[in-house]
Amino acid sequence: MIMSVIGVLVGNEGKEAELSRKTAAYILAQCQGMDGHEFIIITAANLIAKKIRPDAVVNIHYGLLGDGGSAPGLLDLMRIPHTGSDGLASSICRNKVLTKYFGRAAGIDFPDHVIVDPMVSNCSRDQIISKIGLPAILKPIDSASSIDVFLARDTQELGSALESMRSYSSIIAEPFLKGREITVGVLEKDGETLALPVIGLNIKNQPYQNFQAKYGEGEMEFVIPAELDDATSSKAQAIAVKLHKAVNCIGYSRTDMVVSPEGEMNVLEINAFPGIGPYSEFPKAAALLGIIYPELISCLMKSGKKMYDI
Amino acid sequence: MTFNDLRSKKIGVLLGGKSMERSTSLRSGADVHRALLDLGFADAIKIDLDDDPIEQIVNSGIEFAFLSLHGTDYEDGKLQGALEMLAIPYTGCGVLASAVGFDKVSAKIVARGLGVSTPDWFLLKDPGSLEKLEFEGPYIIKPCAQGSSLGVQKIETVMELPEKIKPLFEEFGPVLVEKFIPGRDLTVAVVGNPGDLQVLPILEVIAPAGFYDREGKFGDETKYSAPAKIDESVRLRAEEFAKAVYTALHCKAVSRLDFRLDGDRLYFLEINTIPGMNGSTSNMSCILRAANIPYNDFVKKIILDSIS
Repeated sequence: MIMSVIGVLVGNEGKEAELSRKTAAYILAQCQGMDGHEFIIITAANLIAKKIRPDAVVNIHYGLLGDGGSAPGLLDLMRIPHTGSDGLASSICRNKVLTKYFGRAAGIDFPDHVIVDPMVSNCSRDQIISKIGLPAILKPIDSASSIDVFLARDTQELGSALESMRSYSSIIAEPFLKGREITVGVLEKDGETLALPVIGLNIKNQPYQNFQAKYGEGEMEFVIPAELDDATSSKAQAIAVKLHKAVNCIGYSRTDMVVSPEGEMNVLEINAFPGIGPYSEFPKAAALLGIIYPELISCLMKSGKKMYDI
Repeated sequence: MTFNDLRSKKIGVLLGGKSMERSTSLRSGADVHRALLDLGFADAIKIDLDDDPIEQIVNSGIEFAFLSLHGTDYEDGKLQGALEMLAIPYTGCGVLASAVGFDKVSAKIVARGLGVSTPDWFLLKDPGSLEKLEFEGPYIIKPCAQGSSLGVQKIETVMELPEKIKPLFEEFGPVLVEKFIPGRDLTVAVVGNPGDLQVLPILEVIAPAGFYDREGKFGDETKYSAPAKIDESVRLRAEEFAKAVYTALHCKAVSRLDFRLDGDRLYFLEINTIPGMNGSTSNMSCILRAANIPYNDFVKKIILDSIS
């Protein structure tokens, strides 16, 4: 039997490269030899220079900078089958406003929002207060992680948040939603779009999930499955599956939501490339359904565009 | 990088390629290339993309790409993504605007999200799902992801749909069934970047078939009128709608948006993130003449807005 070579495409620089290299090492450790595949770690530079031509790629180059969707674009143009979303879904997921439009078109409720230009902060301040009210949450329209997410409880905080966000060309303001933060993984398996068990987030010392909490040590705690009643869990899972389809995600995704004390769901965002590293929550949630790590990677490979014949 | 820096660099006009819109692209690209030479880009070359565009681009040694391409792979965000990965700056829209703009249903979803009217639609992902169609004819059918009005047809009744859709589906994949809107065809070019957007004079396309199919687009019978003879209120609304869609998609430098005008109701049809640029007969060239913008100045502006 001929081994096919599966390249695990890692990020180029910074924090992202570090995270994706850890994930890549884990994929190699867990999956080497699976279904007759030889897994190797590759970079975009190697691909471009044609030092290597894998039969297919497991894409964990998230592209934190830019629109998102650059690595899938390169792979598609090089006719290399790959896991995960293409440029369309990746870039929609990166944009918080477009995500709402696609979600709403599929019948999912989203909180109201105001798009503001931080350069005209007086006008923006009035707009936010009149349309959204306070407390409000402010975030860049297209940023991948929770860098520069601001909570404005009063007009003074609103002013300083807008001031701090001047470098962004556009930001989105939404009402601050009180409730429990949850996140729901979605995985395509055997032709079906499955919701994984709901993951609960307990955030310590921070009123909301910001960058500090996401990447800081010990400030965020995950509970899998989340402590929710069955009806609430099913509702969250149904929304995650619907949104995955609405934005055209391929293979997997993870949707962050807030559950209000009354049980209402509010979608915060969808991630087209959820973490699948050794400490990530997505594989843990999959494992609760009996999907062990190599099987998870196998699902991603089977659902990837044009990957079925590898 | 400034415009003057760029002039001394090797710059490639990417054109042709394997798409169905190859001929349109070759004509645009030749005119753009000529303009670049006029503008003092001594080292401007044309690159006709083949089966391995990445290798061609890398081997060419270009430091900037002017995209005069249309269609699948080139206008849908893939080439834009690849150029991002190659760290070669390029003209016009990025991955998001290109990918969403090229997918007609996605563009309509965004328009509707913004409160911009767009004809009712139904996306056929497999030819058998027509029974879920909820609105009445006449219809316009077109491939969901193709430009230059390829495959666009008007169908009078629901009875005729299956047989007309079948060949379209086999050739292009998912088919968009849209409610036909009677009225006039307007096309609106937006140029610039957020904070400095400009809407050029609106062009009316008067096609003999009463709607804008491929023959209408490229045939001799079609008449053009710019600025279009429309009410001031319609013009303002068209400009507002075009800017809203352009901004939401994070378009860059230039895009052209097509609308249908029924009485005073305006419907968004689609957005072209790389408008055809041939200097004599393209929609864009008519618009530039109405705006009194010399072609070469426009090419220069596209570059300036793309590198800013």
